[in-house]
Parts: sequence; C-alpha cells; structure tokens
Amino acid sequence: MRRLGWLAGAAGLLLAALLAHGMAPQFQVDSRYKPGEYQAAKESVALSLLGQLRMSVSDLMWLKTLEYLHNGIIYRMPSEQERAEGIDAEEFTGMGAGVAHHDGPSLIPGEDRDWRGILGELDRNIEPWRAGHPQHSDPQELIPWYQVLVKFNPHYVHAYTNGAFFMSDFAQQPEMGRDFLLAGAEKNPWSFEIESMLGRIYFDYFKEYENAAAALAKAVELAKDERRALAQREEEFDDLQRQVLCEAYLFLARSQTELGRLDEAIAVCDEGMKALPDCNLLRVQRRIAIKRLTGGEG
Amino acid sequence: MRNGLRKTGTVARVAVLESIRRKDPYVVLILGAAMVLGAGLFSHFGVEGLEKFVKDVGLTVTTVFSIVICVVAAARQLPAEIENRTLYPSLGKPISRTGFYLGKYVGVGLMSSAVVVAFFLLLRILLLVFGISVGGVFYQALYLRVLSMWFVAAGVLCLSLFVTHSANVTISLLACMGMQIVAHSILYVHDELTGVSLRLAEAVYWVAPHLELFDLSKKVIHGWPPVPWWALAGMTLYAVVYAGLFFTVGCARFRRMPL
Repeated sequence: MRRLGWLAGAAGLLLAALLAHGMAPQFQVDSRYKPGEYQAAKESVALSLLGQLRMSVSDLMWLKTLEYLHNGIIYRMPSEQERAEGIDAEEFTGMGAGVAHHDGPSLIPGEDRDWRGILGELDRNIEPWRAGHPQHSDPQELIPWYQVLVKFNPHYVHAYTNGAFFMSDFAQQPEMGRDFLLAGAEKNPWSFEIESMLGRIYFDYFKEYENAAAALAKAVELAKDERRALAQREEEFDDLQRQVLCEAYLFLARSQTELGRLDEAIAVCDEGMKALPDCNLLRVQRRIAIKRLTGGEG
Repeated sequence: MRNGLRKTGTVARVAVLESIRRKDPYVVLILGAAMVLGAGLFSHFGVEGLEKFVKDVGLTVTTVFSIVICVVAAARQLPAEIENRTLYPSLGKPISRTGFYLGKYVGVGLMSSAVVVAFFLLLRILLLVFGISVGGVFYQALYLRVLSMWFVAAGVLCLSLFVTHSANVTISLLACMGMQIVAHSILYVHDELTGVSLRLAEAVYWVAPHLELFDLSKKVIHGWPPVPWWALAGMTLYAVVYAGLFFTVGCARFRRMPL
C-alpha cells in the first residue's frame, strides 16, 4: 500500500512537471536573442518595463519624423466629400521607403472651407499652417534625428535604412551612410533590410560590386530565414518587406551582371521571381543578363 | 475699496507663500536641472543638428509641468481651507467672500505665471548655451503660456467648488492635456458628419475652452515667424472672457455655499 502511495506520488510529480512544461511560456530562441537575454526578459520586471519604454520612445520619435518633415503642419487624408470635389492626396515616395507617404489637405482648413469663423482664423495663425500644396523641409534635418533614435533603440531597423538613405542621397555623404549601416548590421545581424540597403549603397555610390554582391547575398539569405520564421507563426512579409526583398534580388542580379557572372545573375533572377512572382523588374534584369550572355559575355 | 483690495492682496500673498512652503516652485528647479541633464546627454552623443529636438523636449516639459503645477495648486486652495477649517477665521475678518475668492485666484495665477517665466528663462539659457537661436515667437509663446495659466487657474478653482479634490485634478488634467485631441478629432471627422451629429460636434467645438490655442510650441520648434499682434490680442480677449466666466460662476457658488 505504501509502495502504491510512492508510485502515485511519483506519477503525480511527473504529470505536474509535464503540465508545467506545457504551460510555461515557450520562447523561440533565434539569432536575434541569446538564451540568457530571453531568461533575463522573462524574469526581470524592470528590464521588461525599460524595454517597453525604449520601444515607446523610439516609436514616438519615428512618428515625429513626419511632423518634422512637414515643419509642424498636420496633413490628413481627404474626406469623401473632398475626393468627390477632385481634391486628392499627393504621393511622396522619393525619400526612402520608410518615409514614403501621402499628404492630403492640411488638418486646419483654409479660409474658404473653414466653418469656425474667428476661431479658425486664430487657429491658422497660432498653429503651423500654410496654404497650398504640402511642402517638406530639407530631409537632411532628419539625419541627426535618426542618429538619436538608434541611440535610444539600436534595434530600430527603419531608422538605420532611412538615415543611411538620407545621408547618401540628400546629404551626398555615402561614407557616412555606409558606416551608419555597418554599425546597424553589427547590432542587428539578423536584419535583411540593413544588409539590402548596405548592398545598394555599395552598388549605387561606391560601384563596389563585389562588396555589394556579398551584402545583397547575405540579405537574401537572412530574408529567407525571416520568412521561414514568419511562416511558422502563419504570418507573411508586409508590403515594405516584400519590396526590400525584391530590390535585394534585383541589385544582387545587377551586381553579378556587372561582375560578368551572368549565369549567377540569371539564377538569382529565377530564384527571385519564384520567391516574389510580382517583382517584375527581375524579368527585365533576366532579359538583360541573357542578352549579354548570348552576346558573348560571361 | 482700497482696503478691500489690500485684503485681497494679502490672501493672494498667503496663497503664493503657501505654495512656496509646500515647495511647489522648487519643482521648477529640479525639472530644469533634469532638462539641462537631458540636453547634456545629447551633446554627449556628439550629434549635431538637434536644435528642433532640444526645443521640442524643452517646450513639452515646460507645457506639461506648468499645467500640472497650476492645476494642483488651484485645485487645493479652497478644499484645503475648508477641510483644515482655516477658512472660518479668514472670513471672520472683514473680507468679503468675493475678495477672498479673488485673492485665491490671483495667488494661484501669480504663482503659476512665475513658474512659467522661470521655466522659459531656464530654457532660454539652455538654448543659449547650445547656440540655438529662437525668434520673437519664443517670447510670444511665453506670453500665451502665462495667459493660459490664468485661464486654467480660473477653471480649476471654479471646478473645485463642484467636485471633490481628486476628481477636480483628474478632470482638469485630462481636459488640459486632451483638448487638442478633441479639437483635432472634430476637424478630422467634420466633413463626414451630417445632421444632429454635425451640429453637436460644432457646438462642442464652439463651447469647449480651447487651451491648445495658447500653445505656440510648434511655431517655436520649427522656426516660424512671430504671429500677428491681432492674434495675440484675440487670444487675450478669449482668455479674459473664459476666465471671467469661470470666475463669475465659481464666485457665485462660493458666495452661496453654506459653510
């Protein structure tokens, strides 16, 4: 009888251990976080709160980006009534994927549409407001903003990619952009977005095709890992991620073409078209590579 | 008349001294030191070109904490006097309830205005140290912020006679911080509204006290030119009308209150 009691006790303990294992939060350890970091995040309330604070501050700073770009003026999307009158939002895409946006009319209406009388007149003079089409301040002003943002949150990938784009394009300082991205890649070794932008900067500004190909090939591999991890959670890339991956394949194929590795360029295009069937520029690049191959190169 | 004003002035002086005794204004110095420390951190980062950011942080801190100090000080004036029974000996002296109420209002207004001036002075010194220029709109922002303190003080003092202290502080802070959100939300959805909802939204917009119209922070941050004088005059009139309305309602309630 006593032995039966011991057996029942042992079985109970075993069952409890199994249940505890099943019920405990299961953290997926991947390249982004070390097991020790998971453990610390799991156990430390202070660490968790500080992490949340860091995310909130960096998100707030990211939201401020557009406010700074618009000199404090708030724009909104047009209402149904305004659309019917032919007023539409203007698209601004030439300033990096992360800050591409649409600007409709200003939130504070102009005199002709304002129902607020004297209050509206006061509002237009107190708050930043300007008649006419949306205007942007010099995007270079945002460079220090991105530099501070990554001090607050070194894992804010968009800040690295947009900051590097502004440094290289608007400020004409590609060295600064490259160094900014290299620092970002060191802190975010899993980010395909950073490697992809790095590859593009090597390609566009330095004409260093070997370095570009290496960074872009790494970007493609990291993107595959990321996509697999998302698929396990039944999620997919968003539009921006798909666009970045499409560009990574395209510029990898272009780098290989520039290096005369035409077979590899065609293989990259094939792989890219399989992964992203709507990435049409890869078809064009494939035709270019085939033409050069049949023309006697490679 | 002159005697009555002197007594009102004494009540105001006591209200200011009480705030100093409670160390409210010292909060200004502590927060100012925090601001300097924060800005120092940015220079430590070695990042140049953050003028807008430093101005943004400084003015946001100034706005939030000056409103908090004003609301907290105004909300406790009358309930504390009633609760501690210090109101009775005061009213026992030859001073009218109106004079007493006015004294409290002037005391809170003066103390809050002094806090705002101290904040702006500290911010100006900080900006000078960092070589960040500000135009005339900075001083206009100071004027409107001081004006808003009298506006807020009148509202909170009035509300303190209708609701409990904690409810007053909560409602007042929410109203002060959330007024811009309400006003912007109405502007966002106005074109989509029709019928009763449209009339209601417009009525709310017209009746609600627009504290956000006293905020020139964005113009200072983004280097806009000064606003026209008539807009400042308009805001002064707006503040006088609303503060007068709050004062009249509050004073009427205080005069009829059974003590």
